[in-house]
Amino acid sequence: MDRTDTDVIVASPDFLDGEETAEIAVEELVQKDPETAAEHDSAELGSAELESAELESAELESTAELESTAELAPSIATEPSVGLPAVDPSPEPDPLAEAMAVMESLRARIRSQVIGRDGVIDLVLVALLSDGHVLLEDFPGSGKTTLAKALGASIVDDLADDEIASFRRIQFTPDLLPSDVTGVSVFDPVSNSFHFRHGPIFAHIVLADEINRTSPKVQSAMLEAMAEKQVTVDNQTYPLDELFFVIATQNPLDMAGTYPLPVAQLDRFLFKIRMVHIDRSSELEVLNTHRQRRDIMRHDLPRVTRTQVLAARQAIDDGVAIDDMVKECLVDIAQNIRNDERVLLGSSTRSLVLMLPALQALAALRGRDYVASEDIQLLAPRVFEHRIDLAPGVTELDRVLEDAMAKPVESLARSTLRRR
Amino acid sequence: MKRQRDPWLPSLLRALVLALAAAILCWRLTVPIGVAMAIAGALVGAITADRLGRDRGSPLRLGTVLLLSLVIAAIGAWAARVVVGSSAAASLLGPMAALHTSEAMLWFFLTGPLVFALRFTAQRRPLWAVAEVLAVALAIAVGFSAHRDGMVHRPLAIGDWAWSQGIDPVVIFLGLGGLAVFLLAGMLLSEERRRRIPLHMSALFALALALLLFVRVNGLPKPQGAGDLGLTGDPEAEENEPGGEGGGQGQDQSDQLGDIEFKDEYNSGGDQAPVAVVVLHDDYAPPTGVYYFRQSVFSQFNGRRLVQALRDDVDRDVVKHFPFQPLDVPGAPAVSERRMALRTSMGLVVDHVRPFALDSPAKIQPVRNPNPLHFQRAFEVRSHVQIQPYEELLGQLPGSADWPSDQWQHYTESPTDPRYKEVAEGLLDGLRPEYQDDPLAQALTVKNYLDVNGIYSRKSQHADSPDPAASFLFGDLTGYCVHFAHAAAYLYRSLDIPSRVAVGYAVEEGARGGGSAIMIRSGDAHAWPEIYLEDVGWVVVDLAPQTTLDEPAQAPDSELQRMLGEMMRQQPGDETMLDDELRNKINLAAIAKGLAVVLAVLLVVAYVIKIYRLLSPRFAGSAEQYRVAYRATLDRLAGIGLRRRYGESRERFADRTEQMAPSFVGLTREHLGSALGSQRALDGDSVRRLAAAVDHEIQHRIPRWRRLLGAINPVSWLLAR
Repeated sequence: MDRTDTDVIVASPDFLDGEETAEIAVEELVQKDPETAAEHDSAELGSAELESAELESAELESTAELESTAELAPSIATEPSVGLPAVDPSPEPDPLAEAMAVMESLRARIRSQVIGRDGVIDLVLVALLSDGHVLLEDFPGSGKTTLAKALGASIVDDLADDEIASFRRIQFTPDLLPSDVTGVSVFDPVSNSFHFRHGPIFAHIVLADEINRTSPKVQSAMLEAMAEKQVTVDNQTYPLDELFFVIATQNPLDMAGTYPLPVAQLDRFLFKIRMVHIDRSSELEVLNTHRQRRDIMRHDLPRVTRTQVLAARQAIDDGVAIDDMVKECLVDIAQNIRNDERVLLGSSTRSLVLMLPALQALAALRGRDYVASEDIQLLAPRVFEHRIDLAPGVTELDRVLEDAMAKPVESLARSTLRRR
Repeated sequence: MKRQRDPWLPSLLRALVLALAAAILCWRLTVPIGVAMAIAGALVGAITADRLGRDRGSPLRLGTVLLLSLVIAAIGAWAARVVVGSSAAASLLGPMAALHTSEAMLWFFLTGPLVFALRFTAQRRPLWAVAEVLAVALAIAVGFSAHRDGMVHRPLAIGDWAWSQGIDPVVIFLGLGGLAVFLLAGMLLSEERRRRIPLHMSALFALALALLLFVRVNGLPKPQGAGDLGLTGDPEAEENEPGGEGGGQGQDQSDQLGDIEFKDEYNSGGDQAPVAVVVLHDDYAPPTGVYYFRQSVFSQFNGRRLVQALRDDVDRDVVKHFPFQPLDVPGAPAVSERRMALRTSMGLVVDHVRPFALDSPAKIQPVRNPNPLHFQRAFEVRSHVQIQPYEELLGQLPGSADWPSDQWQHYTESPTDPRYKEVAEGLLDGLRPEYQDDPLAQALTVKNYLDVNGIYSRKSQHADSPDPAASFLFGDLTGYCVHFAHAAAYLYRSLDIPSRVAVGYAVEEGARGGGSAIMIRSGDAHAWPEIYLEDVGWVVVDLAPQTTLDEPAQAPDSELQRMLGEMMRQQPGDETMLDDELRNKINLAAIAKGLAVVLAVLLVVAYVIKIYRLLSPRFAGSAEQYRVAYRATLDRLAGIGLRRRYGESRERFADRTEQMAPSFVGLTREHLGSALGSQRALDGDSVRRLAAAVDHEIQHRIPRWRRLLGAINPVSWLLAR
């Protein structure tokens, strides 16, 4: 068997479907563990059994190999192609596999630009693929703009000419007006009529910097756009694009002269991500590769189109299974949070509804076509934490969430062993 | 998926405990139907209260609820009275049915609302759960309170049955006590819904078992008569510490051992508690109508009162230590027409500082304790008891001609106070001339005077006086036996009659109730004067004041007396004794056997389940393979010590075990995919092959001994999750 091919597949098992993963696991044992393999021959028991498994795996491998190389290898493992994205339409297109490929190329691209933030990148991708928005809470200069720009640059606007840019950044200040965000009707003396000039919000990716610095009026204009995907100016409604993704940031420390977002408005964001400083080696790498990254950005990794992202959303929604047990687990967690004495205001039902596509997206990002308890363990705290109002005097939000999740997650894990 | 459920198990447990307590409480007071209805009422009350009380948002106010339950109880009681009191109900139902209906109603409506109120309060105010626990504890304790003070046969309902079955009820009571503690603790623990309950329960069980063992080895705590004149105590302490406390409580530190002190307030608590049982081997009725069991005598005058003689040549008929072998008592009177030999068996329920015996002991020998659970020690005495009536003792000379003068001096020394002689001689005036010089007649005259004029009372005011006896005799003549005995002894001595004060127990003949067993109770402790007559020996001339300020003593419990006597009669070496021991051993063996059988059955069941789970992939259909094959692999991993932690996801567990079994990651993925609705799940055969691969990896990476341990472990499947 071809060693190099195998290595390619092993290197990115996330993109193999289950069948292949399983085979590789068997094969890995045989290949990577020569001592064990040698022992097999001398071992008195079970050697025959293993050999048969080996043979079968080799057989299966050959058939699987064809498929996998055909549809996956170009998108992930090939040499970087120049220009447009490289996901070739395969003869039998698997939409979910394509969606995974889209996510992976987005991830690879952003990771090449933003170092040491893999977890945040995954969450941002999950939000993007599940039609949510994120609120980053971090310090200035921690790479949030870089992240947003890298995301914006990864997506090609393949629509014909319209007013929607692929990436816009809005820096919020106290004296900003709603029209600065949404756009304004301007009188055109030539046509003798009003003409709408689109504001910066008309973009696929919007970075709303320091959203808590601006007045509630502007905030609400922003939040309306986020919730309804439309903007209303002078009683005229202008739709935003289907792919509309807001990354808002706020500074957690400097609270002077700010208008903190109330819990009800925080509910519009899928995640509130608290960023921590990156570790030492990552920081060093940032300094070392600073120039290099700027050069690569233009032409290195494949980009994806807006259509591909929307198709990926659809594919994930259709293709990733959410079992009823998973939904029960979610509801139990929410109930536990609401029943906790330390919590004044529990999480909303909307948050649960929003969470379903996010779970699907995370599962897909992890190469699965089903939602597992691991996904809940990662996402639930991030979805719930900014939707919870704690009772006075209670500070340990993490503990509250941990307590609420422990039992439902455990019983979800146990329920898989039960007969259905 | 488990849903949030009501904790019905703790609720039910509490209800059962409360019902049991109600049953125990009313069991002696009503007919069986009443008990049943009390149980039903308690169950209904407890469960209803649990239901209502748990809902914090309910508009029911605690005060209202309590008042309401009170009203319901009152109405129920009233209705019950009406049913049994009205002739209409009786004629309609018949008298028996009416009574039963009334009892049923009464107890249902008493326990129901009461338990409801308790439970509801405990639900609303967690602190008041204590009241609930206390109520249960009291109900149980009151039910068995008759057992205290050495009344080993009570309550009769349990005692009778137990004795008839040959079981010592002590064991049953201990078991019941343990059960009660167990239930109470269960009740408390169930308030807190924790996983540790089984642990707490087993710790408690071990504690109860330890208590039982302790009692088996060390014996039960013995009831201590409060005012026993210093007769009881540990005889070892006497030998080690001759100048110390005499063993009985309430003695002053300065007291000579075993001496009696004049006390203003003679405590009479615990009077009814048995301290010893005596079995007469022959019929004997004492001429005085009272059995005197002498323990110590006080004959030496120390300037204030009589104390034990310091010399060895006097009072030699008093045995100072429990003998280890048969002991002939020196100075005992011989058998004659005046005295006959009588064998008695003594069993001490409470240990005493010295042996005591029916007056006058001639031979004492230790015997094996027939029932160590109830007796501290046992011995047999041959007493030469007096059979001649007092009239026939007239005409004897006082003292003995053999006595040297210092011994005479010893027995006749009295306070220098001249009033004793004045009083005594004044009394002799009334004596008939022919008895003017007869010592016994003189003594009886003195006794008569004290009997008529003395007032018996356990409360007196002489202890502070330099001569308490004088304070008593020339004062208000109010005191208890110690005062009377001293006063009489001084008066006898002032008439040159050798006399001393003896201490021990005095039991009236009537208390024997015709049986051969005499139960000596703590309240029978007594001090009395004795005089010495030539050829007769020491003769009790006791006093019996006609006026007493105290309540008359209660008759002894004849049932208990008979039972203790029967226990005492089972002499050592008896077949029954041997049988008992054998039976105990057999019981233990049977219990051990039963436990072993239970364990073996559990073990077999565990192995059957383990093997079933390991083999089930071979029989299960393809669609179930993802589940059973994965389960079998989990069992194997648990056997070698790899198990998922609580709250750990299956994927993370697989990552953790990747070192040991790399294929397990894939197997986990397949399992989860199949369980959670993946479209691309593998078929059953492939899953089984994966499981086989994991098995293989385990075989090659885990040492043989570890796998063997895993294979032997019968409960490894319990650890897998």
